[in-house]
Amino acid sequence: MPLLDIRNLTIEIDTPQGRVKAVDRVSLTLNEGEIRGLVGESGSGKSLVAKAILGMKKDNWRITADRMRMDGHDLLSLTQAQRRRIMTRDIAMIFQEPNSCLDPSVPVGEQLIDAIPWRVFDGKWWQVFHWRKRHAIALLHRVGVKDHKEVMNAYPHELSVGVCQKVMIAMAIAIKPRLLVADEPISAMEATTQAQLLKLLDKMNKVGNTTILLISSDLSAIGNLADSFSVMYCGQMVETGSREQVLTQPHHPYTDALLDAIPDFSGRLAHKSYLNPLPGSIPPLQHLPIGCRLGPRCPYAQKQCVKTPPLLQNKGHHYSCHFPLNLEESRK
Amino acid sequence: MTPAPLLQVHGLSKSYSRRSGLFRRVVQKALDHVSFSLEAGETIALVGEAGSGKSTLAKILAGVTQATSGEIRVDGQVMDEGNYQQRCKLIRMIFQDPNSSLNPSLRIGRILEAPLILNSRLSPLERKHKVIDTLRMVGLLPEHALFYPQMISAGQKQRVALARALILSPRIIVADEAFSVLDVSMRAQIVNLLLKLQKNLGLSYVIVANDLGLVRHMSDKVIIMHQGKVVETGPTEAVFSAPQQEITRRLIQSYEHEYRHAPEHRVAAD
Amino acid sequence: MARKIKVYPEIKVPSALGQTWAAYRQDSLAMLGLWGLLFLLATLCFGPMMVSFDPLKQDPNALLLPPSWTQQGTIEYFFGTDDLGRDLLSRLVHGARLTFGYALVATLVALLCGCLLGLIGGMSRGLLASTLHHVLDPLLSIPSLLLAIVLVALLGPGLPNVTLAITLALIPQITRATYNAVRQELGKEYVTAARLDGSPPYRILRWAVLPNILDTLVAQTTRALSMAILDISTVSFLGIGAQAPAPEWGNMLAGGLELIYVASWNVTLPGLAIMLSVVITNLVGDGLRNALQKGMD
Repeated sequence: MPLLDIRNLTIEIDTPQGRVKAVDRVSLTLNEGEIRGLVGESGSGKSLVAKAILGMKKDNWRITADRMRMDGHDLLSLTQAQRRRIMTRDIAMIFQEPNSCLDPSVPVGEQLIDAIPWRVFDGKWWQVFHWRKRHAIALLHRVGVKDHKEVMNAYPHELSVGVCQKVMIAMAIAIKPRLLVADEPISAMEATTQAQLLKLLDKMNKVGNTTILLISSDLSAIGNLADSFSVMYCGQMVETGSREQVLTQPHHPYTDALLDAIPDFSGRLAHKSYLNPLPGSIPPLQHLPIGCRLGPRCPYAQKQCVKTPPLLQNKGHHYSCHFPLNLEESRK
Repeated sequence: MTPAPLLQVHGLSKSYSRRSGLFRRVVQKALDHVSFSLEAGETIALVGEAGSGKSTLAKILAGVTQATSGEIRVDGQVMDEGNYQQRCKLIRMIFQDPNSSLNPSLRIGRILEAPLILNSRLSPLERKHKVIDTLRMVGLLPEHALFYPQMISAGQKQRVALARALILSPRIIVADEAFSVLDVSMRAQIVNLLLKLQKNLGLSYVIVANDLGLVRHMSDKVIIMHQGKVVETGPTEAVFSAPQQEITRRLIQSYEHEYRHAPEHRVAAD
Repeated sequence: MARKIKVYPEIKVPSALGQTWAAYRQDSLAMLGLWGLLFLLATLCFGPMMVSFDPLKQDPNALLLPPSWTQQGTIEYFFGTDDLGRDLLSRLVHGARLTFGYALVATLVALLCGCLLGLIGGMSRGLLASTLHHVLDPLLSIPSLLLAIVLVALLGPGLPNVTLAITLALIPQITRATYNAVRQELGKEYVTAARLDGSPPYRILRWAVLPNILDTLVAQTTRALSMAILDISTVSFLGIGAQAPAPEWGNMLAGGLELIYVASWNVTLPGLAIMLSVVITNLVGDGLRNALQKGMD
């Protein structure tokens, strides 16, 4: 049974210009122990999906779904209290700006200690004293913070973004979650820190068997970390598949464009040659095109594209496009 | 064309003095005797970790802050500090975040017109034509002149920022992390636009960027900086294919980390 | 060469002012406030010409006449009369000049001085900036009422002196708010960009700073105006502002206080006038601020 099973999640937001569908029938299935990359540019609704999973709902949102189950519990029919219990026990989240997620007036160590629940205590009764502090230090070591004394006593603004994110991950590990939702955890970081953080997430997945939903706007930066990818555009899921499928034989033109848009370090592209981006810009939510939302920007668009393409499947590789790319190669 | 390079930077230093305690002053060197030169039509990239001084260098070049010592020559002329009239016809800057670098209470047309009013003797009609031409050059429509910045998307705002930089026909454009806040497809569009303008107008760029892939693609020369000092410099290909310094090697290594997807084995899509 | 084809002929971009007005119009509460404010201003300008009685004229035949909507009231004295037989409506209308008018004058003068100090201070650097910023700070430590009392003790009672005191109390607050707003604005990137364009300071002030601190100024003005109304009527209520026969609202309130059980309209009507004018000021201010922010994005 999958750990997280979402079918046709729709999020509508009431704005002064009327109700807009920010997320349109998105399905997402995460198996235990998987790392799933959820990729999309701004306005794709990827963060909204994460917030819907965690139940961080605003008053002007309307969330509907055919199914939204976490480990057998139907998240939509739970009461607030029940849902909160599942959240605290099984789900952790880290954010893009870790500095703003930590309380600026409390030392980091205290916040970390507070985040450790009693249920993870497994020592003898006389070990209870200072157990939490020792545990917090151990957690910091596990996320690669060596000088724990300094970090524990520091306030969030005294630490760099990278260290703060590590503390956030330590807090996430502390509750031993089954699912970690990471909302653009590396996009504001230096290259050096990015590599460290990704390694940390990978370790968390391998050692703790934590399922990770990794949200990112850069497909290639997390390319070799995630086992499978879901690509979103303008609130719709355009492609879902395993790493090999999505990275080597993308069926949807949007995924293809994402992979092609930025030169990599290998220098295969001729120096100063033109890149191959999609034309146009991302439409605002109030003015979404009908049919395939990529339509006006898609280089392969044809007449048929004014109808919304259905979600098709080929060997577990889902895509929603009338004219998929690389289909022949993958059928071979 | 003078035989001297277009941009010559010699011994540029910048230090901040910060008060620590009651009387003690701590002098921090953000930039320590940096020298380099740049030819017309070339791109130089400044690379380094946070706090390496690459942003400070870009800001000094554009005239946002002033250097403690050193000299900048463009086309043989020494840039005077505070003489914006002279500088803005030669060096212009694009900021990191297009959302905050355009005045929200002015129409785009007015934003673009301001440098012309201040620095040229064009008549209002000529100015209008110039604004429209520049808008077309960066791939926008003349109608965009009537819009307010908050009505268009971030990618388009960055185009407007580029138009503002281009409108005085400068020789050099300084781009301080001008790509990192944009979405992937918008970023590639802006990169293409910069490359095209370089080819057509012979512009030189000084870019500050974190994305080494982009740096390698766009730049001819690269300066690796660390703690205000130049660690390594040279033609981009040479530096990146055979890095001499530990810091350079570390930067490349952390960019090329094991989780980054390297699309060697990808079947050509089209 | 340049093609003159309009791709989107229907596009018409309203100006920032137009957008602000459109946003303001949608807020019905703010529109109510605006109509109220217009009514108040009309009363201020033309009211005294339209009422039928002299506010000081005493009619011994009509002492403590209740308002017209009660059994004993007459339509002649619409809001009734006080214990000296003076027409309440005329007094209220004339009082608008004293309370609201003087408050308006105090606010405008304070706005002018405060803004000037704040803008110059904010745009300059170093010693001049901090001098201008802090020169009136000692006034902040004195409550405006106390300042009014001190000034009255020095210069003698009277509405002009009280207005002066209130103006003095308002200036440092406005200076401070303006200074901070200007400083915040100067830190933004588009101001740097304007500086790199070669803009002289006055141009930066006019095009980059002023339009973007307008909402702060509006908020400050309306806050100051409602404070001034309350302060003027309070001081007059205490008997050190407008003097006895003057139909100032706070003064009328004080005069009617002894009669509260006999003729409650002598207290409620001036009180209501004070309350309504403060509410109207705040409604307009809030609406304007929201509309300005909406007009921005």
